[in-house]
Amino acid sequence: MKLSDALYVFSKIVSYITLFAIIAYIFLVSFVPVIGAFALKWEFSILPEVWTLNNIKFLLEDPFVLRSLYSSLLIASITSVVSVTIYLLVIMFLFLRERSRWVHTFVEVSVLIPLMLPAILIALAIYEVYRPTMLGGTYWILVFAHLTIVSPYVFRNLYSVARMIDMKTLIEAARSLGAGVLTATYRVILPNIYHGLIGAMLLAFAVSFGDFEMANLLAPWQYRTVTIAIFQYFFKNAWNASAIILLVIIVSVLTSFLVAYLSRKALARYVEVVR
Amino acid sequence: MVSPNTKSFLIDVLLVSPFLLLLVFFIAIPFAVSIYYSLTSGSSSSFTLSNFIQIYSSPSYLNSIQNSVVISLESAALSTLFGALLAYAFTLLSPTVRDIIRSVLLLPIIYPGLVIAFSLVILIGTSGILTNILAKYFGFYLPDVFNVRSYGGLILAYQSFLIGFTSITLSGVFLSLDKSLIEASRSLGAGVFQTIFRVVLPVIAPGLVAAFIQAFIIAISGYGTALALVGGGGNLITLRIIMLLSDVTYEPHLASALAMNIAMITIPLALIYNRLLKKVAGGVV
Amino acid sequence: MKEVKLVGVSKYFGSTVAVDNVSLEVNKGEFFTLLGPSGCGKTTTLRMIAGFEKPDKGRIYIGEVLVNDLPPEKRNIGFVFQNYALFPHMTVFENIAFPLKLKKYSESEIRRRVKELLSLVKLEGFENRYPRQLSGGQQQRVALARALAREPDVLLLDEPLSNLDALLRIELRRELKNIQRKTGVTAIYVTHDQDEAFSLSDRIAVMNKGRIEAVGSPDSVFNSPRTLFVARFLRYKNIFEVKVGKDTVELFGRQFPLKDFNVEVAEGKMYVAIRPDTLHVYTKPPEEIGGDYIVLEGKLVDKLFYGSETEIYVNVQGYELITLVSTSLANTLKVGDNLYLLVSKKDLKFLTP
Ligand SMILES: Nc1ncnc2c1ncn2[C@@H]1O[C@H](COP(=O)(O)OP(=O)(O)OP(=O)(O)O)[C@@H](O)[C@H]1O
Ligand SMILES: [Mg+2]
Repeated sequence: MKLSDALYVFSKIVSYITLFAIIAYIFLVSFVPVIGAFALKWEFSILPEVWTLNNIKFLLEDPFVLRSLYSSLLIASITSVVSVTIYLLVIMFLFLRERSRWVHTFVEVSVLIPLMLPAILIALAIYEVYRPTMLGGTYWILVFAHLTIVSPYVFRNLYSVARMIDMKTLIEAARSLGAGVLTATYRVILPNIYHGLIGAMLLAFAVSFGDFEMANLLAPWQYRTVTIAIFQYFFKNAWNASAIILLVIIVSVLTSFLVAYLSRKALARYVEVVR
Repeated sequence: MVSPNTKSFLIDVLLVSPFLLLLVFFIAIPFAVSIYYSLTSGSSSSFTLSNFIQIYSSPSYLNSIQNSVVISLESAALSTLFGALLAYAFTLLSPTVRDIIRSVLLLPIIYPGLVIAFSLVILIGTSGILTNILAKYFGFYLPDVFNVRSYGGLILAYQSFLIGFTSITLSGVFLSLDKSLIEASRSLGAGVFQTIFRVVLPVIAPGLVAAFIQAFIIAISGYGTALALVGGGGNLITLRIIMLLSDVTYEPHLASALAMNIAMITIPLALIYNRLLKKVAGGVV
Repeated sequence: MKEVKLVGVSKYFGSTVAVDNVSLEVNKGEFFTLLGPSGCGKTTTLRMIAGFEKPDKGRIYIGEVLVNDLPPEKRNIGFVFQNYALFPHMTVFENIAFPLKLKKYSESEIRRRVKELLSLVKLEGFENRYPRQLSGGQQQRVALARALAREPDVLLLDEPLSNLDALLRIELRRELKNIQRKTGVTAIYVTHDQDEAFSLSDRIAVMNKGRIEAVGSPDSVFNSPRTLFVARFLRYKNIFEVKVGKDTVELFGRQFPLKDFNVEVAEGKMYVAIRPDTLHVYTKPPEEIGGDYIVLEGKLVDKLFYGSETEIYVNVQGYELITLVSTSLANTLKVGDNLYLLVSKKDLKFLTP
């Protein structure tokens, strides 16, 4: 066997082993809390020694956990709806007429800023600036903070969909056929960008729902989120905390699969799926 | 009657103003304020470098910066290596399998880092399940060689979501790496190593750098995972910031100055990243 | 009657001049083509007529109406895009019905009109398909039917055939012409393909760097180029620089009186172009040539076989001329042979740079 063939086989084997190991690792860390949520005692075996539903019962009965669940759902819902609205409008702006490259670049780069700055820095500054205002002490302060960190995800998603459907030309086509801007948006753009919108909304929801770093600093006392609940309960009872983690994981898994499903569905409109 | 020009201008304003307001009020102003905070002390409003002087003259703060940078570099290097191997494996897989694996890799990206930390503690902490099993059946006590509540554990935890980012960014590069390019090089008489170093590496290098930067930025700016895993025992910049913002000590000025140290590293890197991303198709964000 | 009129229209993108002081008139029912190389401003001109771009200077009229400030939806136009731009979420029927619904036609009227249009573009029976289930050619027919649905004053087409393969392109070209004739719609067509332009159009404008360099019937544009650019673009192969004196011109080392040529020429540096097919090849000096002809003597330097015809290269006084002969004749020639090229004086086209 030649050296090159040997190297090729070797690299193939190494990459498959890495793939397998990493997937196994991710599954392991992801599903330990899932099983743990049903454990009463789990110390020396692959699966819990004593199973229980008490952790789930705890999840459904503990007022602090329930309250945190409510807060997280509320904050994530508002964040996702508002951010998708804001970025849909921006996308409309970018594709309604010919815009110069600079306008596109400006939006693209400014949307990335929250990724460049540590969340803690933005959170701290927002806290310092808006605590004395009307926002202080309300969950809106956290909503606005989350609006910044979900920006890159929401924008990139919508932007790529808008590009894929060639939104500018679709608007032009509708207008050349006699539709005004509103009609074109309602009858042509929304039906085509719909899957992308829902996908972006789900992503924003998941990012907001899973945030701990900003919530830890910004969430007012009555609106502590689930991730804060996880943090506080973990050191008291790992299995109770696992039940809360299970909930977060269900939300993440559902969203990531829905996002994947929706983006495939959006694509199907452009490419006939041959079976 | 509004003129058509005014009307289209009004529509434009209507469409961009929510975004601009968000940008100004929740990104620009807060960022300006944190710069201002870092350059002032709580007691007077005149500009001073005292925060930075305090940081740079304190061995413990300097050590936290060093720790953060080193750990992030190590995490980024490892995740770029693994991400590249995964991206290479992707090219060998069918698109359907690839899609499934990619959505699995996306999972930890949207998990809170906290969860990963706790999972690792449950698994291989001092009384973790795997630790117990290993001790009981093999007489091997894992924490003797690897303590998960340490910087090493942190790097391990980071891998779970950093690899998601790097592999997805790199898979675009690897998939676009034309097989015929390699064949052409081989047919021109280049050896394996020459092909790798002269043809493959230059093509994927921007992707590798982009993935590395992305992983580094995520690793150095986060604190959730670190707080859950090493807690107060770790000396990292972000953990020091959190400590400065506790109920006991609340020092936003010094905290801002510390955070500025991270921003001074991440902002230029992010700009390079954004440049590189234009050359590299795909990516999570 | 003028259906579309542009008066001194200019458009700038930053420092690029996309369209430079263009004036043109398109008659009602006419098939008018904007022809030119990539980046010469054809699309931009068309998009300004549609209202997708605002002109920076000049006026645009559709019918007798100044439309500069009218948004596209208020101009009664039809636009056919290069990439079809069909609405992916609508069936063929819904796509074509879209403009009719906006006009609030009755349900039965819409059905009747769509049926009519589908038969016009030969797509009966495709009503319920989605665009993704159609071939490129079929999609472009739907786009055409949709653009015609609102009975536009002017139909604007931006390289509508360029995404199709060569055979389909020629087939659709004929159909397009038939449809335009049947409906009598005024059409402005953009293309960089001269065959397309010449076969389809009633009149053609050749554009270069944002300006119009020639306008007229296909015949006049093709046979009487006035500028170097137009001749080059129309693939006149033999183009040489010539010196024009006060009343003589020097050609291939010989002086000719200027009045022999039916062109109004300026003094100084000009170019002359000769189409290969207007050069007639003789192996012996041709006899009895009238004063309307010129004979050029030269040596065969090269042959290029093209099937039934062969391209030959003849060196005349240091100038290399290209012409076409039948392959059977070419087979009797060999490199170095003396050849005589006969050309009519009216086939020498004088060009300004
Ligand atoms: N939106 C724009 N922004 C900046 N420059 C533009 C824009 N649209 C066109 N241009 C420039 O204007 C000039 C004319 O472009 P136009 O699209 O009209 O050319 P065209 O004749 O249609 O070419 P093609 O045959 O390639 O379609 C080109 O130099 C082009 O780069
Ligand atoms: Mg064009």
